[in-house]
Amino acid sequence: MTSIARRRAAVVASGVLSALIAGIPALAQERADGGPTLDFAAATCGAAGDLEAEFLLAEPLDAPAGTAHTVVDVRVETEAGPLAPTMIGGTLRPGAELPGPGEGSLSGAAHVPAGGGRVAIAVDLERGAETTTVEGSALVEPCEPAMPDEELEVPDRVWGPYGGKRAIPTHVSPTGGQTTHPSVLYFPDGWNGYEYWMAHTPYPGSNSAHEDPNIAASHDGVNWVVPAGLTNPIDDQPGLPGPYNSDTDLAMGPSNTMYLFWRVVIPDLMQERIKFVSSTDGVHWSAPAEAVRSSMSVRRPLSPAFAYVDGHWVMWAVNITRSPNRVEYAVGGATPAKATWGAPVPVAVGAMQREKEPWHLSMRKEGDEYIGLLNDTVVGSTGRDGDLLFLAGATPTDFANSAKSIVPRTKPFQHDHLYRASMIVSSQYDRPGYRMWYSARMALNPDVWNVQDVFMHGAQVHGAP
Amino acid sequence: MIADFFQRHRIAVAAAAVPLVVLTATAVTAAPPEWLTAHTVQEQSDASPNFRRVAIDGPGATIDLLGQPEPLDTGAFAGEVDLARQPGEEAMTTANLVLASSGEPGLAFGQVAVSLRAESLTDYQYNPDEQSLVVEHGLEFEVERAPGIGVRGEPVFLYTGPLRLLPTEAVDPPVFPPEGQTFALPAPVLLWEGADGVTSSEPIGMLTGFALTVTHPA
Repeated sequence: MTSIARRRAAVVASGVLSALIAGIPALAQERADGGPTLDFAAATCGAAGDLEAEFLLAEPLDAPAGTAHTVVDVRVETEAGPLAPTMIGGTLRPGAELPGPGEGSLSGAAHVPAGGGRVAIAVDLERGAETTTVEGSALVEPCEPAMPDEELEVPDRVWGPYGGKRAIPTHVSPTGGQTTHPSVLYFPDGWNGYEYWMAHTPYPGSNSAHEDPNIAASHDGVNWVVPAGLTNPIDDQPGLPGPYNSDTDLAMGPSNTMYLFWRVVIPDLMQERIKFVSSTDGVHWSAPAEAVRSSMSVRRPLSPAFAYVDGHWVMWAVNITRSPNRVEYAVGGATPAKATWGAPVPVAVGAMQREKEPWHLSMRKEGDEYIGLLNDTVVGSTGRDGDLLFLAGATPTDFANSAKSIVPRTKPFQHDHLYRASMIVSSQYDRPGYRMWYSARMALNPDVWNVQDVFMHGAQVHGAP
Repeated sequence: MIADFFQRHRIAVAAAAVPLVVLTATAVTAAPPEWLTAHTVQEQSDASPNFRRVAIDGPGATIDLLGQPEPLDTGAFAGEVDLARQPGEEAMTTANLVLASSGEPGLAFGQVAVSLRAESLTDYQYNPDEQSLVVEHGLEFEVERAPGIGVRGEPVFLYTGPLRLLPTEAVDPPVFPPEGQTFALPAPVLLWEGADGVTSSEPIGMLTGFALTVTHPA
């Protein structure tokens, strides 16, 4: 066995803030003579304080030609313990074939704790009946979120860098799995033991069989757990070609009660439904009830967002019955039950980006104003090349938007499509702004979903907080 | 529920010329793989120079779009597959598949083209042990237009997930090429709208019917 030190690093820029180089490898790779090499490539500290360590696996140039090695397993361990498989992105994954000598490499990027320290990686390989394990490690330095300065505040613009990936426990992957449709509520003094509550729908590999409403909670918005006593999912549907769930939204109702809403599509019946449950402790939830039921040929309310305002429920949704999709608003009664809803009215959300239309949204009432996040899509598509626009309006039916995406669509190794997001009014380093959890997708190689957490500047856009 | 899809009326979709590349990857390599040598194998020779190029035909594909009350059918298709060329080379566009209208009355949405999505030869193969056709990256349908999807005047691209076609009748022993055998989709596979191979986030429906027959080596 030999040890070869490599000192390579890459900087990945995000918006105005550039990422910081954080890692210097102490021990780059180990290899069996003639076998594949596992090199440390770079440690990248994102502006949001997320730290990634990248390793490259390749055949040495002098390797004999033959059947390719196949990756059987990839394990990464940090000083805080082993990482969940979902925290390792890139092409270095089980089932991948190692390119031949001189033909390239497989890249694995592990989302490691911001505190840095030693990161060890082991890759099990198989070639015919032969099995091999290749190991490597690196010592990476701590990563801190970028300190804002005066230049970060841009008049009339809400913006942020790409976020830090968060491990969200799902009923499919309890240690953290692919998920989307985050909806977050914040309680400064806590609610049943946690300051942050999130609803989301696991979507590993875009498999609708797992897209069922889940609940998670957190003390800091970074580390998420399933509250003791709660079993996810809240509702379970089989997925296509049968019925499937999607589009979660959390809202507080009267009597300190939390409501969870989600969408159900029933292809056989040509129906769309919006269901809800409620809870006073976040653990025990009521039986599902219906807020909306509609025929697909009449109305398809996507990504519903709810609020309890002045004694009655209100709802926004994106009607996708026919392109261009339109945002709608409806006023309900004292409960979200379907019989109480008035006819939906159109909502002005400002000019869309070129060749884009609305896709998903979240909304909240903040003081006297309404603010929201609008996820767009290519016209005529069903969630592609999405960006996130900030919405602000004095009424629930008339909004101005940010004109362009408030966070970059692309984050290396992690996302190239932005999706449904949720935000709260917050501050960072005593600067007002918004904290956003957004879902995003890496569409190719492979299809992966994740949730990112970022602070956005520009609170003066709507005058709060 | 699946039965319901097929019980609905069909809408004829005129279909047209397209590239389709099918079948095995391993047959292209210099040395036949182990599984191939265990079966009856037709060797390439001067007398049969093109066995790797096979002709196929099929009754068409059935597509069920969410929100649409009726499924869509393509017309029957026929084409030729050249297994001797690497995917991504000209073979992909010269092995044309000609789709014809099924002739049934109904609302026509224009021509349809179908091709295999392949990044390497191993992405599609015929496995004689299971007598199945495996398409690792699925099919790409280019549709002149489709109800409720895309922008009028621009083609719509629909993508399936990975799929495996099973023989409608087993042959013992398996032969290669599987001349005369028909392979069909055993169960619906998800269908996605997309562009340039990148799919959207939410499925738009399912491919509920697809079958092809290897007619003969060209």
